[in-house]
Amino acid sequence: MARAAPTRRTVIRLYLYPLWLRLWHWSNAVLFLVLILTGISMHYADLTSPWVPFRVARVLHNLAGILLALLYLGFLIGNAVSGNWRYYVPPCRGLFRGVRKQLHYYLVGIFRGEPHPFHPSERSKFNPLQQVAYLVVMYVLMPLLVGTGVLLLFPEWAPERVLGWGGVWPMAVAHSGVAFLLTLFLVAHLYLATTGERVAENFCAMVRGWHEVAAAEEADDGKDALLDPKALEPSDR
Amino acid sequence: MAGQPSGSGVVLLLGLFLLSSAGANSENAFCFRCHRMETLGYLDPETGELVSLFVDPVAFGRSNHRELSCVDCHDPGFGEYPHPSSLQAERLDCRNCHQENQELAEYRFPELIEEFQASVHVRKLGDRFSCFSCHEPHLFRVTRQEPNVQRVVETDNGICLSCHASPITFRALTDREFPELIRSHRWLPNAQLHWRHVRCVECHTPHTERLSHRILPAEEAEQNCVACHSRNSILLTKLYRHRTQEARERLGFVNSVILNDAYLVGATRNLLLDRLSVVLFGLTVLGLGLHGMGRWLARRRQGGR
Ligand code: HEC
Ligand code: HEC
Ligand code: HEC
Ligand code: HEC
Ligand code: HEC
Ligand code: HEC
Ligand code: HEC
Ligand code: HEM
Repeated sequence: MARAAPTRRTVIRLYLYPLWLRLWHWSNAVLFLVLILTGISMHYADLTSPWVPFRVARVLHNLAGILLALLYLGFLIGNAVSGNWRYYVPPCRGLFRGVRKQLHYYLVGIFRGEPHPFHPSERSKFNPLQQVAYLVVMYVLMPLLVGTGVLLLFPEWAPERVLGWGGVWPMAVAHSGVAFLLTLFLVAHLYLATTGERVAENFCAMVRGWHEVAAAEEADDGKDALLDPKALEPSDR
Repeated sequence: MAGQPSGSGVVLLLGLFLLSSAGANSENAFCFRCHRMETLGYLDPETGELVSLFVDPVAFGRSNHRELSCVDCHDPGFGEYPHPSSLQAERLDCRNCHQENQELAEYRFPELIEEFQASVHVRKLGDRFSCFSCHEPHLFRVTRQEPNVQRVVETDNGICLSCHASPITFRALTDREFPELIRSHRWLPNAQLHWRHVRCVECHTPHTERLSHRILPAEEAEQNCVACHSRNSILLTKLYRHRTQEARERLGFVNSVILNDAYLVGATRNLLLDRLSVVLFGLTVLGLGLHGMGRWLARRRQGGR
């Protein structure tokens, strides 16, 4: 195959989401939806509640919770083994500026049709905002969520007293609080995933594993140009 | 409960003290001389079981009847020893004294007795069941005066379990097969946990404003989780009735009184947090919706690229 110089019609395909990651991600998403639905059903339990019946909700929530905890372990292991964790480590310098740039894009640039300030590359697949959000979500909130959930399932492990109050209910309040924050994340995450070049682009990427970047634009941006040549393939479109 | 001792079959298990003369005011001390001995009792000739005649002075001193002297309830004839055999047929009842006692109107004895008459126990067991099947007259102390909910649950469930966890006591009253509680409550997750935190009567009586004495037949017992696991938990009118008000105000949590001892899924909520979360969620969705609309408009203006 003769390698053509990048033209407008050339697309760079990056294999950003390996199979294990995609499997993790979609199982995680499904479990999350089940947990949110059943969690709300239990929190707002009522005789007239339109949600899942309490007894069913409890069983489903416990089941999905245990699976999610195991899946989270899988995520940690997968990240450690594959080196995917590196994408989550923010750079020492320029993070703040990067976040500002990305925020400026979402608040202003996107309405003016400006190009994305950052493009996924093999070296860094997240934009600075994603990096911070994913880091907090996956390495702060998720452990808290899973941890408090496990303690609610096995209350005998909970510390006897926290801040002078009984040991179980601070766990429960923390659990609901963190779950709420993650639900907000999910909504924002869903929406921001539509801000690719095309609305469905990121979703396809998370399904197929390949992220497609228009190469001509890519070349403009010197910073991210360190690409593996194998990823350069002429588009068949 | 177990039969009254019949005159002929009394077997004393322990030696007796010689009587000394006792003043009228030290009546109770006089009775306690013998009746505080834990081993005082006899074997019932009919059932062959040990009937204790022990009355715990410490527990009696804490009971609601501590002000009374033994012979206010018991026939003054018990002041003699050996007790006259005619007194053995003595049949006491809470009703004797409380049916129309105005001072104790807050306990609504007449109503309570009606409920008792309608309970499964009386309907099925008739005379074999009395107030004393559940309330030991010398220990009886209403739980509304007990601040520790945990202890209330323990005491009240102890009442039911004295028969329902003891096949011997149960079979003395009925020919029916002894129902294993764990099996009858298999539908209830963490049954043991529940029994440590709620009372049997929470589910086994109608949800009236005040704890009812009408124990319902099993089919009519509460089986709906949401009866407790919700904001209007029945526990607020039952177990926590006398404790709700002050605690509700202390932490700003709905049902914080339940929360104080335990967390009750569905019932323990903070209204402020609940509302805040709905508002935050709404704002997030609104913000993202507007943003999306802005993108769509901007794209149309730029010629649909
Ligand atoms: C000297 C020890 C002694 C003293 C003092 C004593 N009792 Fe008894 N009591 C007994 C014994 C022994 C029995 C067993 C049954 C019997 O002998 O009548 C008994 C039985 C009883 C019973 C059960 C009767 C039944 O057949 O169900 C009652 C009630 C009772 N006593 C009340 C009292 C009261 C009230 C006092 C104080 C006014 C008192 N006793 C003082 C020894 C004593
Ligand atoms: C509020 C009324 C009341 C008072 C006060 C009272 N008793 Fe009783 N007592 C009863 C009743 C009612 C029974 C019958 C219980 C039953 O049928 O199971 C009883 C039964 C007994 C018995 C028979 C064994 C038993 O426990 O069932 C003894 C002995 C006895 N009382 C001793 C005493 C002594 C001693 C005192 C004083 C410290 C005393 N009682 C104070 C109401 C009272
Ligand atoms: C011989 C009469 C008599 C019998 C039988 C009797 N009581 Fe009482 N009871 C009294 C009297 C008198 C008082 C008032 C005591 C006082 O004012 O401190 C009282 C008080 C009470 C109180 C209120 C205590 C308080 O501090 O407010 C309750 C509740 C009570 N009895 C329940 C019962 C129950 C339940 C039974 C049956 C197991 C029973 N009584 C049997 C005479 C009796
Ligand atoms: C099946 C068992 C059972 C029987 C039988 C029973 N009770 Fe009770 N009773 C209870 C329980 C459980 C409580 C709850 C404890 C509490 O709140 O003090 C209670 C509470 C009470 C109270 C306190 C109520 C209050 O408002 O604080 C009184 C008074 C009372 N019973 C009287 C009676 C009388 C009188 C009888 C006989 C007519 C009787 N009980 C029969 C189980 C029983
Ligand atoms: C003195 C012993 C005794 C005590 C105390 C007692 N029970 Fe019972 N209970 C029985 C017996 C015996 C039966 C069986 C009646 C029958 O069906 O013949 C029974 C039956 C029942 C039933 C089943 C009725 C049905 O539909 O089959 C329920 C429910 C029940 N009890 C609840 C309670 C609760 C709740 C308490 C405590 C507040 C309690 N019991 C205290 C002896 C007791
Ligand atoms: C959460 C509510 C709840 C609690 C708490 C509870 N029960 Fe029940 N219980 C029920 C229901 C509902 C049934 C009927 C189950 C059925 O029909 O399958 C039942 C059945 C029973 C039966 C009838 C058993 C049979 O097989 O005939 C007895 C006796 C009984 N309960 C006693 C108790 C006692 C004693 C306690 C306290 C230790 C208790 N229950 C606590 C809800 C409860
Ligand atoms: C009579 C009221 C009552 C009913 C009915 C009831 N519960 Fe509970 N439940 C409680 C209380 C109180 C606790 C709190 C125990 C504690 O302190 O951990 C509890 C705790 C629990 C727990 C443990 C939660 C934890 O964090 O420890 C589960 C699970 C549960 N209930 C499920 C159910 C289900 C499912 C049902 C219906 C089949 C049900 N409950 C019916 C009162 C009730
Ligand atoms: C239905 C629900 C969800 C959908 C549709 C969805 C969609 C997506 C998409 C399209 C991507 C790739 C684009 C991008 O990088 O932004 C992605 C990545 C990611 N999502 Fe989700 N998501 C969902 C739920 C979740 C949940 C619940 C979590 C975590 C709690 C999560 C965590 C992540 C993470 C960490 C990544 C980056 C993975 C990596 O490359 O290492 N997602 N998601």
